[in-house]
Amino acid sequence: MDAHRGGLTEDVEENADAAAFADALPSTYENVTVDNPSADTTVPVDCDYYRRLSKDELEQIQQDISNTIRPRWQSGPPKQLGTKGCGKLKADQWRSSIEFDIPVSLVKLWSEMKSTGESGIDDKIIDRNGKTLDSTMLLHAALHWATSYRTSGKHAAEYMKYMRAYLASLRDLFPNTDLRTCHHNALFIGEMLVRFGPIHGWWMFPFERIIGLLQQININYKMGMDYNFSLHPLFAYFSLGELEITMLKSFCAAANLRALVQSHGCPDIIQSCAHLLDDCYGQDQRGTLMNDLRTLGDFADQEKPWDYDRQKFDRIEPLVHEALVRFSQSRSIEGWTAETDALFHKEREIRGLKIAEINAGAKNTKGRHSIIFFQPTTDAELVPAVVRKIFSMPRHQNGCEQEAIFLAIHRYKPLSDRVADPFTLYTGFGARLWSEELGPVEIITSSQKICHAVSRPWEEGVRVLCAIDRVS
Amino acid sequence: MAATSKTEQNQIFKKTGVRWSELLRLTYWDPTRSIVVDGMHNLFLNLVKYHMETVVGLREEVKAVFPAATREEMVEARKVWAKGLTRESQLRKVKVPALLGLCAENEVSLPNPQGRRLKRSVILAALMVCHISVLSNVTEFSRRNHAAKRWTHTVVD
Repeated sequence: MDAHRGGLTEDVEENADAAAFADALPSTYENVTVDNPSADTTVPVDCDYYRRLSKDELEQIQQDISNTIRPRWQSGPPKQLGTKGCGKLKADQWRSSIEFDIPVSLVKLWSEMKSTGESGIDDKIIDRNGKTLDSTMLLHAALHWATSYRTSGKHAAEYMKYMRAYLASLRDLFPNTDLRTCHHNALFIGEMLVRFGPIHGWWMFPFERIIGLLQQININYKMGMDYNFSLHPLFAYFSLGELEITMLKSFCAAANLRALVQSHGCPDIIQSCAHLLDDCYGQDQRGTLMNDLRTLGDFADQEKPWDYDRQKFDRIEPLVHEALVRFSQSRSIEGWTAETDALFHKEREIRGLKIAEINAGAKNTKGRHSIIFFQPTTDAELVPAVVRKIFSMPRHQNGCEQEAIFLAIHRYKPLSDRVADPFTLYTGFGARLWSEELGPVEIITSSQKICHAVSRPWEEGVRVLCAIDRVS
Repeated sequence: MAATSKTEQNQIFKKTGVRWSELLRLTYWDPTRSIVVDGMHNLFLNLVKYHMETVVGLREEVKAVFPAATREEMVEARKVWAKGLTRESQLRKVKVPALLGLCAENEVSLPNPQGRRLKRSVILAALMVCHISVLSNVTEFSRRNHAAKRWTHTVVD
């Protein structure tokens, strides 16, 4: 500023407004004027710290995303995440990216950076990366509590605890940036969890879906909604709101049909046609909403008699049969004995969850539904496994023959001590490293708790696995 | 509610930060107390998006660097500069790379682009201000300070 004044000395008086203007300029102005010798007065503003992932890091993340194996119903982030080309992400994609993809990638990227201790990497950057990672994990934890299918005072309290911690971490990372409205709003969600129940009941996914459906309806260029237009003499013969009434009627009809099929008083004839509807319209099972619908639906038809054909049975391979015999000795299931033949399934739906054997599926879909987490015993922690075979056998119960489904699985072995697991720092995160080595064949029943997993290779022989248990 | 046009609505929104809602006609409805924050929009589309893009920095580098100016462009630009600048419009035929070249030659420092492309108007304003201060042409400065004003506006913005 002084330099300017130097230039202005001759006739300051008549240019008082200019001088006043120069005074009133914000400090940023100071740093950009050329001839200011004391230009080092720069305030460390956030923008200097605004880090963008480097090109390598971004590419690594994109690579990670495409290496990830996830069940079909989870819509993962686009493979080109972070570029302009991927467009706007959907809420679902943001969800899966915070739940698994990004935190895991960041842990990998930055823990390596730390351990290799490359020269030329500033301690400051490592410190900042660590802080960013911590804050990502806090956000993950907050969302984990918020998106739970259950709610309680504890859920709300935990959510608020993590959300506050997250906001504090943001303030720490960007001291000069104001928090946004959404950060403020987020602090109200804790209260709403207690008031309105689990977030799945009142978030906007269903409404967005309906909006999407309405937008896609073919309206043959009729302008049902444009009042002014329909007053125009040319369009006078369109009755106002015809379009809307048609939409509303068919919408209600569809909803009623769906309710009828699901209700207990549904006539058998319609019930038996229900699968046709499913075949026609039940194709797209992706996304949070469809998953909600499925998990929240009831599976009361467990106790149906099973109609089977022994001709279709195949012999169980010796390895699996041995395991089955061992299993039958350790647990007795009423009305069931370990036979040598069984009906095999390439894939099978168990409580709404599609499980496939590891050899099923094309190259790029292999393993998608075969990496699972299951509960070995009640109250035990979930462990990851690969499904080798799925088969069912008859079982006599309540005077009829029912289907008993078994899964032959190989557990992933826990990590040897050689490799340090960086996820131990983040206990609530859910993902862990497992050795890619598989254990011996084991048999589990379909009544055990089973859920899908997301997985990604970590390094040679090591895999990171995370259960996506959408029920608890 | 008093707003009659879209522009007017936007002006009111800009001033007060509040938009009219038909629900406000309900006497018992208090927007500060009866609003439910939507989990999907707020948590995923805002919080997570902000976190990924700003905190983690997960976005592509927008090309902040312009291609270098060609020699001819620079010659033209220097001519204009040597003639003396009084109006921004004198530089209207000079392309941005050449403008940046001028800045470099005359040691005009530009604001930190913060990873974005510098706007043409910002560069122009910086050039104008610099040119004026070099010439100590005070009358020009006061007459032309609207350029600077515009520029600072952009910087603050």
